[in-house]
Order: sequence, then structure tokens, then C-alpha cells
Amino acid sequence: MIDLAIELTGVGKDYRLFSLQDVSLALPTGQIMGFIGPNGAGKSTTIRILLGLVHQDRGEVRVLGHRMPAEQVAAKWEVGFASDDMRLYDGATIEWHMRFIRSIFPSWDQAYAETLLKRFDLRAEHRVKGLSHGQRVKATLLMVLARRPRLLVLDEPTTGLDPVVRQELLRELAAVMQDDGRSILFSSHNTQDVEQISDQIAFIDRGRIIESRDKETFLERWRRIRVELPGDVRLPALPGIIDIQQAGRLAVATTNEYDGQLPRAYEAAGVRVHAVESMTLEEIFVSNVQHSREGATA
Amino acid sequence: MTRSLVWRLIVKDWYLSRSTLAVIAVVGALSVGSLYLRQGLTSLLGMLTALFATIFLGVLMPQQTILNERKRQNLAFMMSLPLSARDYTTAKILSNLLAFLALWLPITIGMIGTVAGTGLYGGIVPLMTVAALAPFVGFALFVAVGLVTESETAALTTMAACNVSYSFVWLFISRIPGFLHDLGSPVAIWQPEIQAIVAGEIGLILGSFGLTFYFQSQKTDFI
Repeated sequence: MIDLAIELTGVGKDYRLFSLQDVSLALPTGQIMGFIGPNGAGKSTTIRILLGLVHQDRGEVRVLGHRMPAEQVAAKWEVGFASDDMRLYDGATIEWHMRFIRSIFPSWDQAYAETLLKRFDLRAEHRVKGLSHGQRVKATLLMVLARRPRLLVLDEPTTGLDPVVRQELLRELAAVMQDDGRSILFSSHNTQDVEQISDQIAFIDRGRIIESRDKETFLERWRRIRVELPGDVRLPALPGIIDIQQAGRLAVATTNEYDGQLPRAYEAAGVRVHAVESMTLEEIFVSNVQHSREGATA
Repeated sequence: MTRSLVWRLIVKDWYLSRSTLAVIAVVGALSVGSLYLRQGLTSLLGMLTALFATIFLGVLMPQQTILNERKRQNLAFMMSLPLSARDYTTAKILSNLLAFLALWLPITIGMIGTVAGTGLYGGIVPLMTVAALAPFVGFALFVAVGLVTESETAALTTMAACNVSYSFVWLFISRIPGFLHDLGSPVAIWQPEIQAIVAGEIGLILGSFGLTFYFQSQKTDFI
């Protein structure tokens, strides 16, 4: 049986203008899951449910084996959470925050905290009020990382950061994963960040998980096939093709179930295959969302 | 309940509100000190200043520790700590209540004690007690509404409504038969109506905190 850091089964939550519907996710221990969705897709609601901060109306949630929200106190000893809308106290220094967290968590690693201070170019005596957005995010992450939690839940931690700071953070998260017993759930609408560090990827849109797989499978199965038709006919939609864009005799077919048979099947139908192109995670995400929305409105 | 964690949250609130608490402590001490001068206008001003100091304390402390925590987005940081909603509510009520009592009690006892100690103006002690409890009632309602609704507007409106309601209390007290005569008495005379008002104030304070725990336990969303 796979050891799961996070397990959501059929989770739902209803608000007046938004519903989270039948969300099921599983993050094996020792892996990083990138949780991608447009703004308002339900990423933050899902994460708040994971932490017991919002109680689900339906479904089961287990975090590090703890049932949520009932066992949220026990779970939160081992979970580090940071989000882009989380702020430290303006009136206190970074040093004060470090002492505060250290007084609560026996797992606090002071040597690591000091290493992170240097690596993030932060000064312990600085008040939070005087820090830039990037410094605040780094200070928040320092408080979380130096606790050495078994599970890191990060809700859009790279939003609004410049590329240099973003790379520093991603490098640090990758370093965390050198310890096999630790896991990360990392939400973002920046697919580049997610593609760089994730093992697992889940797409969410309009409150539903539209696809969840390991990153390699995503990148292997999604392809764009550029073809030329023999005459002024429509490109046949073969199984696994989810989108066709055609202009005259030229067409581009997108598949989410690519295997070597598809180009051969087109050629057998008299279609000339010009190229089979890999897709970036961003292209996969956009196609996935569009396909899901077309399916929902059809 | 994680007692040591609740205690750390209480100390954290006091630390972050230390400037406000220090200013009110100094103003309160000066106000009560001025009563010892026993000069009519100075004493009256001292009494009013002490009253206003406790009113400000009752607003500023919950404003800084409860409402600003939400407004300045510190709540997610707090709630990521290993505490339950009940722990959070307990920490907030205790940090506010203990800080309020630490200043309100000495100011109130100092004020009433000084007046009663003269042996001349004991008659105004019941009125002073009702007046001294008024900021406590406003504070308790502010904390309760602030925690439950998480709305600054709702908390301030409740506080304002509470203050306006006290106009009716003063009107009611002024119509108690023999009240003006009792005011001039050298000893305190506790009319049943005054006792009922004091009991009502204490009931409101206790009820506010009790109901806060109940409503917080019914909440399903904390951020």
C-alpha cells in the first residue's frame, strides 16, 4: 500500500456563488504535487480544507494519516503552511518571529534557520513592516521550512516574486525533497514553477479536478500533431484527439492519449503528418481547461 | 487544548500591544493620582480621564489583537499553528480580558477607593460602579462581536449602540426615587435598581464571552 501524505476523496464544499465538487487527490509521501488552476478555480479552498481551516460539506480528507478537520491540531504539528496572502506581524522583527515559532515547535532547527537567513539575504533584526514583498515571502517560508515539517503546503508562494527570488525559493524546495520522508503540495497558476519541481500534477478548474497524473505521463501523453490534408476535407477525429484546429488543408490536432499509433493512423487515412510536437505544461494546462469547459457546456 | 500554546499566544498579543497598554497604564495612573489631590476640577477631570482611558483600552486592545489580525492577514499565520478554533478563541478572550483587567481593575479600584476613602462622598460610589462597568460591557461586546463576525464595522456598531444605550441607563438612574438625595450621602446606598443594573452589566459581560465560545464552535470557515 502506498504511503500517502495527502488523500482527498469526494470532497465538496458549497458557497453561494462557488462549489468545490467531488475533489479527489492523492499525494504519495516523498513527492511534490503541483496544483494548478486559474484564479478562482478552488485551489485555496481545497488547501484550506486540507488544513482544517475550512470544513468540507462532503467527502473525506486525510493529512499524514490524520482525519481532517477533526484531527487538525495533531496534523498541524507536522504540516508547514504558507500562502501568498499570509503576513507576519508588521510590528515585530524576523528574530521575534523566529523565537516565537521556536518556542512552539520542538522540531525548529536554529542552524538551518540561520542558514536560510543568509541564503535568503534577510537580516534577523529587521522589522517585517520594512520588508519588500519578496523579503516577506522569504521570511514566511523561513518560519515554515526551519520547523522541518513532514508536509509543506504552499498556496501560490511565488506570486508577485521576481525571477531571482522565485528561483531561490524553488531551489530551496527542491533541497527539502532530498529527504524522502517529506512531501510538498504547491499551488500556483505559474506552470513554469510547477513544471520545474513537481512529480505529480493536478489541474483544477471551476471547482473540479480536471486531470491528475504524474508529470512525466502528462508530458508524454499530450502532443500536438501538425498535418496536411489531401484535399478540402475535414480532419477525422480519431480516438484520443481532444481538439482540432483547421485552416484549409493544414490542421493541428491535440491529443491527451498520445501513442505512436496516432500518426500512423492519420497516414493510413491519407493525411500527411508534418510534425509531432511536445507541449509545455502551460500549453497542456490551457488545452485541458478549454477541453474541460467545452465538455461542460456541450 | 494546548495550554502552553494558548499561553504563548496570549503573551504574543500582549507583546504586540505593549505600546497601547503602556500608554493607557500611564494615563490611568496619572488620572487616579490626580484624585488624591482632592481638588474639585482636577478630581473630576481625573475621573473622566480614567473613564476614557478604560473605554479606549476596551476598543484598542481587541482592535489590535483580533480585528487587525484579520485585516493585516496575520490570521492565516496564526491558524497554521497547531491550534483548534477553541484554542484560538480561548487565547483571544484571555489575552484581551487579562490585559483589560490588569488596567481596568487598578484604575477602578483606585478611583472608587479614593472617593470612598474620603468618608464624605460614599454616595456616588454606586453610580461610579455602574459607570466603571460600562467600558467593561462595551469591551466584552466588542471582543465577542469582533471574534464571531470578524467584522470591524459590526464590532464598532455594537460598541456605539452599547454607548448610546447607556444614555437610557443614566436616564433610568436619574428617575430612581431618592437617587439625588442618596448621591450626597457620605456612605454608599445600593438601591435595588442600581443592584439590578450592576447585575445586568456583569451578566452581559459573562454572557458575551460565553456566547462567543458557542458561536465559534459552530463555525466551519476560519479564514
